Amino acid sequence: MNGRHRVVIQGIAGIIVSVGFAPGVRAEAPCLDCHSEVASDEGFRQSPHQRLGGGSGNGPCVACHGDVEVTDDEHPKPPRVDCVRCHQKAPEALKTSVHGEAGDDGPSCVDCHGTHDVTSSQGNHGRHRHIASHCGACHDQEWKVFQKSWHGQSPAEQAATCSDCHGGHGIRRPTDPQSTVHRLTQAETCAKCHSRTDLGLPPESVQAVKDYFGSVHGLAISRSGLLVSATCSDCHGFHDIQHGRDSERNRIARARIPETCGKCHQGVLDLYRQSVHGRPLEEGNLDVPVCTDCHRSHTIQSHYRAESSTYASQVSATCLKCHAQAVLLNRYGIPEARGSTYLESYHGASAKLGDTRVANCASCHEAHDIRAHTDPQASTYPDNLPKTCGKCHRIEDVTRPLKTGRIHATLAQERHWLPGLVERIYIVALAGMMGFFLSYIVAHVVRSTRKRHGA
Amino acid sequence: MAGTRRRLLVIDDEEVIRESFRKVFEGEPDRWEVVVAPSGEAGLERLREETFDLVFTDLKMPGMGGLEVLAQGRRLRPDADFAMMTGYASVESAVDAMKLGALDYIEKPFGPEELRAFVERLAGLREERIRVTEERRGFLRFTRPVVVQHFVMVVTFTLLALTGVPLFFPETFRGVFFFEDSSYLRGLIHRIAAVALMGLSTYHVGYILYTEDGNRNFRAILPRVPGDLKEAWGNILYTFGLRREKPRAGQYTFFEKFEYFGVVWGTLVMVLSGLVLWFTDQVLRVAPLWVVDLAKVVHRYEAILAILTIAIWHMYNVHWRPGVFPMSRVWLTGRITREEMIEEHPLWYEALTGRPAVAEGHEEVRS
Repeated sequence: MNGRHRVVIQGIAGIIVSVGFAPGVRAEAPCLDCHSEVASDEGFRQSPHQRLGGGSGNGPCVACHGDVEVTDDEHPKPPRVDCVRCHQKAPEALKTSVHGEAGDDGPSCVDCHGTHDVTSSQGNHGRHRHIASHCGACHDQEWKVFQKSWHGQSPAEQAATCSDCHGGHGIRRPTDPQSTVHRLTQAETCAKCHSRTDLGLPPESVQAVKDYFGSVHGLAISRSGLLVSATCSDCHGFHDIQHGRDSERNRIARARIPETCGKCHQGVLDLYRQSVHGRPLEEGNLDVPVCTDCHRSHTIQSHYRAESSTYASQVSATCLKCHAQAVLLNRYGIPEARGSTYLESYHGASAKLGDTRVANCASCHEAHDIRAHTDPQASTYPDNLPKTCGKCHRIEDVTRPLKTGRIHATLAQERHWLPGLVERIYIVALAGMMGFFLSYIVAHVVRSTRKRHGA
Repeated sequence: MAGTRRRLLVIDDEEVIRESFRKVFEGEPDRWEVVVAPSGEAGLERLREETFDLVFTDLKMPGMGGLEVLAQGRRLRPDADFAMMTGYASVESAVDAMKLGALDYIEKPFGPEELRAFVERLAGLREERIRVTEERRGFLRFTRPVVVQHFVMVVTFTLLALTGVPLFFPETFRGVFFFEDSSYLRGLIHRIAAVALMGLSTYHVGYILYTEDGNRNFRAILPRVPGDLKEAWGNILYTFGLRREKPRAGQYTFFEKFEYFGVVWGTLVMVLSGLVLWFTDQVLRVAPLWVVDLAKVVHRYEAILAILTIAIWHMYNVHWRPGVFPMSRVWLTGRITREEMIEEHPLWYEALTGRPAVAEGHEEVRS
């Protein structure tokens, strides 16, 4: 129904109401003379119901309360106000809602909308706090939490309030699949605002929401209907949602990310906490990678997908984001060129060519359970190498230690002397032979040309 | 042609005829050698045992006649040229003989001058015929087994290089392997080509050990010291303009021998180091990691060495040098032209033909 029709219908309704009750109105007994508390209610004066019943005299009062016979400044109790007489649509939605199911125990219209101060939900200043305060009258625990959240505190007029996420009359339990905050629908609900570019949201956060729907988490929900897959609130929280990564209260603050992801990925969290990356984090070191550094956040993908940062061919680039940084390597005494020696190896070169079967960093060092090679539990601890290499090479049952060579050998003392010597001999031989070949060829061309020209 | 010694076989039952040949040609032993046979049967016996340039046979002899000698002799020695000697009465038979392939005939009786002129003329005809044949057919440089082995080598080497080189420049070749598993396919093709190369090498060993052709070729390509070194040194001096005369090479020049043994060495090294890299698992069971590292270094640098040597040295010397560019056809046809033979392998030409390797006027025509 478009705007013009609505105005016409409202106008007709107003006329019917005023005609219906007009004969009973007694100008000599204005309601507000006695009900002065209503007269002085600022909310009533602002309310759109002011315009009912012709908008003057007793008209607005009678429109809701009906006509009463006033005798000696007294009148019988007027019938109960029936909002549905005019607002015929609302109860349909309300009936199937969690509030409607509660019957008489549920809230009535006035519990949410107020009485004389009833006001439009559209574009009113302070809207979101206003609505929250109404809901908060019953849902006081949630209200308290919400008030401390970014949505609750944001100065932005459009910041989400209860009804933006939960809906209005048709509000349902979060566990009801038809609820707007059910795990299967929630992301769509958040995206209603967070994919909009006209709300002053940072562009990267708008992009993040779009990315989420293509991520392993988003697809698990939208395609597979997997309830346990992460949706917005699992990482960001809901009533207590926070802004700013520095906040200790924020679940996606760097230091808290493993714990947040670990709510679902408990097994991985246990491994990570024991790892060379996880242990320093417990001590407050924020240099170490957390889940999202390797897996990314909204664009997270299964490591079987080529676009994933943890796909076989991407792993080395992901690790080298940190492990090629001189500052970090120096700070923690990690030998340089571990990355470049890998990339120059057969494993590395083949991986660059797109071979996903050759070893990448994680194949040997593990993904979550990464430990220093001096740790006897490390996959790269010398005694464990047969087993680690044996994942691909058939040497898992070799008992003789494989310590006779270093994998990422860069320093002279880490290498056996022979391959280096042979390499040098080859380089000299190559240079000598090619030098001779080329000079011979040049001389030969000159000689042949001269001979042909009879010189 | 000057400087060439020709072998003449004279078959005649008349002693006087045999003697006349002896008398006319014995005076110049560096030009002529005369062998005589008193009958057709005896002549064929000599033909079976020795080679001759010119064979003169009487038409009418007791026992085997001249036409029979001609027919069987040509079958025995297709290289030799035949001429008939005949009395006046049997000129027609002599003409028949020419139809059977004889070069010419001479009527008996003949005087010394007439005989000399006849034989000289035949020698000239024969020279011309040989030159024309050589120019038309060239010489067999590579026998069929060699051409086939070389071809298999070209294919396997190219495949190995194409599938190996990307590992040197993975960044550059990242886009070339356009589907997911093509890098795996790269390794697979490399190994298949390697097995083919190993098969070829095994065959080659059998070829040089057990076939006459391989035996002869291998003996020819074995290095001769100091002859080959002298030839190589002379070649270098000549190429760099420090010597006027080009050293005369045989069937295989020093550089060709160098390339052959380079391939033998390279194949051996690549196969051994390649097997270490292929069967790393088994190697690591018995050897330390540096053995694998060594194999990696060797396989890498030997490959670079081989590819550059083929691309620069072999391709230039065989195909791209002035006069041959863009391609020598020897590797396809197995045949080398007479001109090239005389230019590049004069000693071999002389050994094969028994004639001096002199290019007839080609240089003059060119300049």
